[in-house]
Amino acid sequence: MTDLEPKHTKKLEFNLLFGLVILFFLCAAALLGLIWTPYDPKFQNFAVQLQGPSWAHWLGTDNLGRDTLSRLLLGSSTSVLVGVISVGIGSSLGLLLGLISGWLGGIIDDIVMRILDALSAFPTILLALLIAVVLRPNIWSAMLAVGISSIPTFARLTRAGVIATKNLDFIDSARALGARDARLVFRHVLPNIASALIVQATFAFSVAILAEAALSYLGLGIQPPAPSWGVMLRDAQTFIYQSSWATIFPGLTIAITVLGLNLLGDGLRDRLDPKN
Amino acid sequence: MTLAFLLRRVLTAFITVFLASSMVFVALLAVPGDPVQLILGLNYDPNQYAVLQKQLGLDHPPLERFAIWLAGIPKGDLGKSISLSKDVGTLIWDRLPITLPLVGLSSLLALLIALPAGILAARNKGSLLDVLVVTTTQLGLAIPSFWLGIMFVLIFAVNLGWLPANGWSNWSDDPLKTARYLIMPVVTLALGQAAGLVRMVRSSVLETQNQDYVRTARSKGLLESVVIRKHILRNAAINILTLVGIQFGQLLAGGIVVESVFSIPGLGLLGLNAVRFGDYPLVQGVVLVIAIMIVVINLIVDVLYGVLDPRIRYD
Repeated sequence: MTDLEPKHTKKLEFNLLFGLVILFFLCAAALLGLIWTPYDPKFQNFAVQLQGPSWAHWLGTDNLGRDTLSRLLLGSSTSVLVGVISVGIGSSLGLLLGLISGWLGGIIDDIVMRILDALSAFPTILLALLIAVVLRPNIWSAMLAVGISSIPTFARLTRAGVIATKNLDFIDSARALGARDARLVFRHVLPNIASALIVQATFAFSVAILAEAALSYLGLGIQPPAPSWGVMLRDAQTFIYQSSWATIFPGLTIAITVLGLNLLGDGLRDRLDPKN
Repeated sequence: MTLAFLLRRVLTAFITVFLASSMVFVALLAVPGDPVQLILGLNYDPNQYAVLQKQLGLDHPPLERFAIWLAGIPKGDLGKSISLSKDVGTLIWDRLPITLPLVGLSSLLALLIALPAGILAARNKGSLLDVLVVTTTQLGLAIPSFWLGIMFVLIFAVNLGWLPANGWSNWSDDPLKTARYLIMPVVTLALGQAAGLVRMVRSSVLETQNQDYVRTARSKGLLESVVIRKHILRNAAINILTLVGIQFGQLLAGGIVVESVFSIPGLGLLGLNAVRFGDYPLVQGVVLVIAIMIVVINLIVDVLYGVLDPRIRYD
């Protein structure tokens, strides 16, 4: 096995590095998309409908003659926004529920766990259907659906971490020294599960970007004319017999982004989690 | 496995279904505005208002409505659709012969791909084959199923013209035609699921083959094929079964996306159109039925778990 180890570390570094590069480009594109794009992402130029890549339009144009690169850039801002907010919703509520459930135990633990079980019976898309019919489909309904559906994972992870640490000797000695519950949780328990939560948040971010694209594709998320990678694919599919270019670049962008974030998660996990 | 465990597990499943139904009901209490007025528009006949209010069951206070709705679920009475003016239960029932074969065939195909790929990769850990399998699964996890579907349409329908780009034909009309409509959706759904499954199969085989009893079996001089079949796979199967259970929920959800890509009029498209028309009783029904299916599958998997692995004690 020893001869495998250097190779393994190299692969590990590759994951982390590749993931970080993609994350950097994603954030840069999201910021750039907000302040500058080659063309106005909503400007319709019917002289250049459904074109392939050219010097004027690097990634071609869509059915309304809008510049694909500009729309991808602005779409990345949407993706990052949805990702950050939904991971924020999922991780904060999940953390809170996990802490309560794991620390207090007993009947409260039972109740929280049953609620999480019930929540787990709804995949993101089901939640999105339900929330979209109540709020009408928009960016908020998508973020809520993606965020809520990630609560159980964060909560279970936190709960398991709390249960594993709360009976350890160092917690008992801190308690004996007069530390209160809040101090015990924030100073002693949370730092112990922080790295697992960071890894989970990375994966949740990647899941959120994939889910936003899918929901917007289905008409349950971002609504046209606002550019979202999912909406772009929906439009492009309608005109697939006229031009295939518009179906290719948004999909490639989603795939590369998600691949990068997944590898970043793998890399972080290998780095931060001593058990792996 | 004891009877007590079985009963307790069934009871938990009931509680989960009850809580899930409550969530679906409570979510819809938050519909802003008056749903009856929303449907009728601004200029409506007061008589019509009363009729529709009664039809939607909105003439009762929320708690009573909840009780009525809950009581209807076991009877398959999920209310009436607004946009299609039919029973929600009937509408859903009619779509099952479309969605269930799609999901069932996809999970079968996903297993047929994932089992050999995962086992081969694990048996040859670190080899070129393993690296290839693991890399492919990373790609499979990153490629969105709806884009994969669109690419299949581009290749096999637009460019090669071998298969229809989208649509559906009833099983009773011409099963062969239906099969042609099903090929691309099933493969699309299966490939996405297989990517996740391969990784899980691989790691559970890897984990099992390092166990002491596997070493013992080898040291007894057993044939390697017997060790793999009886000691490694049999035990890894227990983990894999759980994964298949978890995946089933994702498949049902993924089915909604794939039905949309290929315009297949199944449960998913029914739910999506219901959202478009603000038909909330229908959305409520579709969401609840899929959630119940997921809870039931998980229950079955848990029970099978106990059957497959007599070592597992539940108390």
